[in-house]
Amino acid sequence: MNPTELIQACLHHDTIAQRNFYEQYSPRVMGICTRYAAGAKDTEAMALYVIKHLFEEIVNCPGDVNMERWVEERTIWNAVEYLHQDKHRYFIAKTTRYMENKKKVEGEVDETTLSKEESKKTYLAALQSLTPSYRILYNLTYIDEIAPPVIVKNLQIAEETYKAELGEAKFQFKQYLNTYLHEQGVPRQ
Amino acid sequence: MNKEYQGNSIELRAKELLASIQGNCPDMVWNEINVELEAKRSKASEKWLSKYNTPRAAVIVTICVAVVTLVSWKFVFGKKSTDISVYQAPQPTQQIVNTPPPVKQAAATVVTQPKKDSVVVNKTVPIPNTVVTATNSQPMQVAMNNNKPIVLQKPVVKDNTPTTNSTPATAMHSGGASVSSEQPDSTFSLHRSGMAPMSSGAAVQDTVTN
Repeated sequence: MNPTELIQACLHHDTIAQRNFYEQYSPRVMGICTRYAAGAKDTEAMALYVIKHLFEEIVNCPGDVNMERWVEERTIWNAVEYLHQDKHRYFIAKTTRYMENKKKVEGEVDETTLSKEESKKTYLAALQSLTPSYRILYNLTYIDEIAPPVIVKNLQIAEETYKAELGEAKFQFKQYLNTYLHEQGVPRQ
Repeated sequence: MNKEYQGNSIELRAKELLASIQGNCPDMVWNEINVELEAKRSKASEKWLSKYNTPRAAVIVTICVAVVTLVSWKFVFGKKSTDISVYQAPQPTQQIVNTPPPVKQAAATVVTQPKKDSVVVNKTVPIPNTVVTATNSQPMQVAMNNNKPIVLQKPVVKDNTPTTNSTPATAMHSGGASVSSEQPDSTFSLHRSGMAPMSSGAAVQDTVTN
């Protein structure tokens, strides 16, 4: 079943097509949600929210070879929307305050001694340790590589705010990464 | 990307490691999504049914109304046309058209067989404006009574203008038969006196032989 047929079948509430769509794109959705969410439980809730919205928005899907790219984009912005709706955890505290109790690790760490899987886990743990606002900006800017004007427009924030927040997110991520690598016994350079 | 926002090696490494990350969705996610999709599916089917049932009902009602109207129309006007064809008398115009032109008819004569002691009464129904003249050459029918011919009487029609061949009353008396001239025009009594009854008029033939 090609993407166009899959979309049409999903629009006609075909159960098999919906299941196929879920099986085809849910791993990618889950991966993106893992980056934007704070933990495994949060990831499942976010994935549920995102996939529901994907089925609602599938009518706007182009239906050609860019379908996967469309799914990724919609997943990213739906994940951001989910975090915005989760207001009791959003913008409660700055990462700086959150980090007050954390032990700071100074200097650069050499992660070459770690395997790729260990590095991935370490980076993911560092990313998930960021506050939602910093996590969003870090993901959007450095991992998903979305253009800053688009981010500013979609998040409805000033460019200066974006710049400042992004710098802070970058700094915090580095701090977390050093901390985790230090905890894993990775020697400093 | 703007250089201002470019990351250092850590960001590049983070992108390299995390950009293509994938995960396995637990069954719980699909179960919950399937419940929601099922609800939407049933809602859509209900919407579809309500959307297409209303016009269907309207079509059924329209068809029923049309059938009832047709049947009632057929009943009312069909019966009326049947009544006209069966029970109604022909229209006067049709009678005029279908009636053949009037033919001059001689008045029907009822002839009763004479008995010896009875009086033959000829009842003649005159037809108005019908003139019986002596020139009537139609042979008279002859009835036989005991091998005696009985001359059927021609209808006596009173005419306003007596014909020249009419037999006077005196002449009738000489023949043994008396015709009362006092009788009404259409009827008269014939008294037998041993002779066969005679009819008046020019076509009377004396065929009686005693």
